[in-house]
Amino acid sequence: MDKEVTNSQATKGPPNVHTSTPRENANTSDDSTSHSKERLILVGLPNAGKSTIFNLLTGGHRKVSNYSGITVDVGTGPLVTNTDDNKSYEVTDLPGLYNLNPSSFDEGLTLSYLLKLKKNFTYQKVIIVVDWQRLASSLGLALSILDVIKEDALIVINKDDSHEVDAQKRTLLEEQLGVPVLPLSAIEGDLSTLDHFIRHSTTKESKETNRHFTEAPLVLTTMANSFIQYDLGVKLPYEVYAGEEGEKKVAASINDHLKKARQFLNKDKLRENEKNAEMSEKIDRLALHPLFGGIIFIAVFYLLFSSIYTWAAPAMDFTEGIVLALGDFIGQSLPEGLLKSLIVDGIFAGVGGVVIFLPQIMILFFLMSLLEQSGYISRAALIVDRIMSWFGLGGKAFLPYLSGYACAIPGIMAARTIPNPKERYATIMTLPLITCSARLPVYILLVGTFVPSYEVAGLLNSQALAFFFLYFLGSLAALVIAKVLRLSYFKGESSQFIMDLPRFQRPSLRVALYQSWLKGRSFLKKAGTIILGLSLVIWLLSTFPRTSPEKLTGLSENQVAALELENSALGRIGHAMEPVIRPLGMDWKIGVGLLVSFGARELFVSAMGTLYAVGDADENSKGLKEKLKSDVDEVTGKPLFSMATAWSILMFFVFGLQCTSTLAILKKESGSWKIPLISFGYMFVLAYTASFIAYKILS
Amino acid sequence: MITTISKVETMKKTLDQMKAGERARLIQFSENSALHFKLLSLGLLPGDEIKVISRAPFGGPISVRHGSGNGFAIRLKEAKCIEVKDMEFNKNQQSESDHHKGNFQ
Repeated sequence: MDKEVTNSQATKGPPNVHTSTPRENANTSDDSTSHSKERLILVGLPNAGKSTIFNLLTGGHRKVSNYSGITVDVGTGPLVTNTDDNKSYEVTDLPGLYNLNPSSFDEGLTLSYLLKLKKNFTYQKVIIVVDWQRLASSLGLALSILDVIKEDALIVINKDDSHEVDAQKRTLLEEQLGVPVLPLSAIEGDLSTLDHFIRHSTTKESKETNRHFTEAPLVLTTMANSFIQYDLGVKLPYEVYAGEEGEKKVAASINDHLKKARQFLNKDKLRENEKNAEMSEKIDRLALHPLFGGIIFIAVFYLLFSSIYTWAAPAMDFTEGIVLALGDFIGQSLPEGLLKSLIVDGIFAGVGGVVIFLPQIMILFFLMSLLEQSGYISRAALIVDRIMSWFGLGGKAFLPYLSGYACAIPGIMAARTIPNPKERYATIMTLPLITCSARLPVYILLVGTFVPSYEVAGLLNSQALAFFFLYFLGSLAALVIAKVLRLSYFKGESSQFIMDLPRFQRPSLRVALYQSWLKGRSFLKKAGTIILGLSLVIWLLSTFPRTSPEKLTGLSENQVAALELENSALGRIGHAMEPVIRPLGMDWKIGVGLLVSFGARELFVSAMGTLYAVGDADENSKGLKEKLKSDVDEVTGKPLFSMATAWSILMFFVFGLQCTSTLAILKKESGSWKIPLISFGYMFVLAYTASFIAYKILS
Repeated sequence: MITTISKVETMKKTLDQMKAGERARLIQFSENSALHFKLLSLGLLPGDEIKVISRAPFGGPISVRHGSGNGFAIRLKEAKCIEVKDMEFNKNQQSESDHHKGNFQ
């Protein structure tokens, strides 16, 4: 999975951070023992810009690391500047941490890497990323890191966008800290300076003489120790104290380091950067205003979701046009027969039907990235915090939920930042209810086809509203279920809420375009692999077994196609499940669509594409939308797809957990099959019930 | 430095009682250790000046600015555990105080 660069406070931790248990560590494949290679690690406050630096160093276009599920790989990549002639470096990006007394899993993970508590992970140099806007606190953290590590360290002062740290200030800091310092603006992307700094600076004085800022040994509270993972047999370089004694010692240590950092800064006449501070405060007065704040919040998110609808429509029509034309062209140049059917009905109707949603996916992620980079996301978290707390969730649950709008998987992983296990389980079990981007194709297809488009109240669009409603419904359901869980099985206090409010900043278009391209690419990859493969399976099952020719004599072309489809394996399966889905207003074709969507939600669209193409003898390809509109129910003879049926399907998709990857990640994050099975079960019941109710109300 | 700013100490209260736009000085943090660690790690020490930017509707979190313009938000329940001392600024010296706020005490 690719790294994200955002300005929000969630786990910036690479999504592929694996909270392993010592047991699983046997599977790690890290190998940094080769002598020619040096490993660097990036540590610092959350949102200090570590991941931006990581991407700069390892190359934005390079796929950093896969989410493989077993290996403990914390976002590692080789430097782009490695050549045969120079030393080879690898850099590992770790989740941010506030102090050396971890308060959640992701912080614990970073500390266990920093202190080398995992036998198969080692490093030679630490790059401490200091945030120029939060100089005192991040320098305090830097001092505490320098106090505990024996390795060489480098300090990068990031966000020095207006180049305020001059040579004199830099020298002063280097003298005090005893380590090389580089002022940097990672977002400007000056790779050569950074690279030169990493390769050619050496620690000026030995650790013994200068790098010793406080006398205190590293002390952890019992609670903090519970977030740390270490291999058996590793000597722990810290002491653990329980109760008040531990708390006093830890507080004293953080306090001392912060005071020391302030002393240095005052002596150097270094001030924290005030860039954007005034502007941020002005925006905050509005964005966090008791009344306007709420209005802005709703407007921002309405615009976000409606833009997917309105802006993407022309792009989507264009892509659909190309796919259809290409399918026609290839279809005409092929002889009648199975091969033609395979290519036109299987591949073009199946995969092509999904690919046309590429513009929507890219626009969604482009806009999300702009929003995340601007710093608004933390304000949004604050606005909804009151609502979250009504439902028994702490503020830390907001960011995992928000990631869930893209995909449940990174969201479930982001929930590692929630320290309280009960709250964390309540969060990850309800996260799949958040409308993820895989539901988009289904929503757009059905809303676009069956909800008439008209203006509401002069400025809102009915289709965009329907769309917004579906998102709202999923989110509401997630919160309500979370509340139920928090009142019953996962009862308990919710975690505290103190959240950093990063300053507003102008989002970078380049980063947003890049994020959008990454998501677009992985969407196409999914279409080219899983969806292609399963589309072929769907085509096979809807084409075979063939119907004997005697049965087809005397029938029109359309009747032949329809009968052949009904007699196919998929037709039989569909008919067998009809009694179950009839109450929901669905026929067997839709039933088959639902069935295959349990593999991946987009498959509903590709299955519909293939089924309607196979069962239709019409040579002139129509878009799937027209085919759906003109389909007739075999039993009643009325149009099959009514508004009621469309909404019934939509409800199924709002509530159903049709995603095998989500089940796998739930299992991994909770350590057993219990959580995924319960989640799947309750969501299935919800989905079926909601579909039934929607159909009954509307028909 | 900061001591030159004319200010009138009025009374002790807790952070949750502050209104939007008000400034105060931190006296001490709570007994709650996790909260204590977090505030220290955000760069706050007793004696620091803070300013309330806003209070979210319906008793939502309170957002606070400190240092050179960094902010954080905290739920009222936790804000209750933070003792502050009111500061009343002499209007004429407002600009001077702005001048100093980038320094650390």
